[in-house]
Formats: sequence, structure tokens, C-alpha cells
Amino acid sequence: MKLEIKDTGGARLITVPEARIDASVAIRFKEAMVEAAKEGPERVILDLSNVDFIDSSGLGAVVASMKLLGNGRRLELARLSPLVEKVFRLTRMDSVFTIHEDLTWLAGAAEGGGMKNAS
Amino acid sequence: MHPETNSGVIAAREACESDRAGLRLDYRMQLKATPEDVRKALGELCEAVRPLGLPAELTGTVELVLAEVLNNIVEHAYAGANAGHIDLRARYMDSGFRFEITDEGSEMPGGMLPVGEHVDLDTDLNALPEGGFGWYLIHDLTENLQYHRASGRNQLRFTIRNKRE
Repeated sequence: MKLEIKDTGGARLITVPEARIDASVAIRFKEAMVEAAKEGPERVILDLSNVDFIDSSGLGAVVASMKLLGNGRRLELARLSPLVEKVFRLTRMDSVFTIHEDLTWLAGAAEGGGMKNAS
Repeated sequence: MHPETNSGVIAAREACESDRAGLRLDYRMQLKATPEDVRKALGELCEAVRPLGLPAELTGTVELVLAEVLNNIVEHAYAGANAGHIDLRARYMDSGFRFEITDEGSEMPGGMLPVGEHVDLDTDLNALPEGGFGWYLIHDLTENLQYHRASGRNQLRFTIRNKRE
């Protein structure tokens, strides 16, 4: 799985361009996350706005990729679709991650890199 | 028993019918037990359900629960074996989905449904669980969940109601 990377506002912003993080891509997602976060700013934000479906394997892969950031770094999540938000809420994983409703506060987040442009 | 080897993802697909007046659907499919085929089957089922015009929240729940159930069969019932087949029947009537899912894989541990408890999140980052969420989601999002083992087959039945009606 190919992830989009952008360093902005002191953080590494990683965007998932695909619509699903499910059992069939969970391992590849985790590997791509490790690769995407191994360099760059300490702070890592995962933009899930394109993802409309996640299952428990995908959820496990998001948790696993946070652990693999190392040094106790916490992965932040942003722009969860309703179903993705529901999976995190029902499993109480919403208490483990910092979740941002939008990225308007992050300098440069809305420009390029396949991001949605607000204006 | 030797299921017919079929290279197609959906080995059989019958009786897809929707009655506009009564919002009814009776849909059957057979799929190979691999993660890729589960993904394709979920896409097919979502297409079959679309004419019913149901709320996105309900169809999202259906897709999530079926993903958990089917992936459990792939990873556990058929673990380590040649990918067998899974038969799925989905009916929508009286404002609810009724599902019957059958496989010829190994029996559930202890011959019973896994409990599906909340996993413990009150722990260090490195001890956070990466699995164990699936059965919790299935129990939480379904009703009348029943497991039956007979003649070398697992059958799981459950209901997902349309709570808006």
C-alpha cells in the first residue's frame, strides 16, 4: 500500500489514499506505516479521510503501527469517516489515540499531497 | 466432502430479488475463504443491498459484521488448510437482516461462540492489544446470534435490525 507523506507544521502527515484498511491489506498497511514514519518529525498524524471502511484487522494494524513508531510515540488520527469513527468508539480505541476532527489547525495541511482543499 | 474447485470468487450466486413495495431481499453467494475474496464478496453484497435504499449506518454495520465473521472463518476455521468455501445467505425482511453463514472448517474452540469481551486498554503502549476486537464487534452489533455445528459444518445465524424503522 502506498501512503502519501507530507511534513508540515512540525509534524509528519501521513495520508491513506485507499478507501479500505481491511484484513486483505492490514499487513501491507502496517509495513507502509513503518516505512512512512521512520524518518521525519517525531509527531505523526494519520489522515484517514479517504478511508470509508476499517475492520478489526485494520484496527489492529493501526495499533501495531503506533507501537512500531518507537520511543513511546503516540500516533494521532485525523478526519475519521462515520464507520471508522464507530469502530474506534465501540472498541474504545478512541481513548488510546488523539483524534482530530479536522486538520485546519495544522499549517499547510490543506495544500497539495492529495488532500481535500477547503476553499 | 470435496467442494468443487472454482476459480471464480463467487462460485454460486442465486436468487437476488428485491420487491420494491415490501423491501425484501433474498441473496445467496458462495465464496472462497481468502481475505481477497472476502473483500470482493462484501462489495457484491453491498451492490445487492443498494436497491433497498437503506441508511448508510445500517449498511456500514452489515459490512463490518460480515467482514468480521468471514475473516474469522478465513483465519481460524480454515487456518492452515486449503481455502475452503463459505456459503452466505442474506435476507432482508420486516426491517431487518437475517444472515446464515456456513463453512466446512474446524469447529469453534469448545464448540461454543467466543465471548467477545472488551479488550483491556488500561495498559502500557507496548502492551496494547492488536486483536481480539472482532467478536466483541459481532456480539455488540447483532441480535439472536446462534452457532450450530453439525455434519462437519459450522453455521452462524444472526440478525441486524434497521433501528430507524
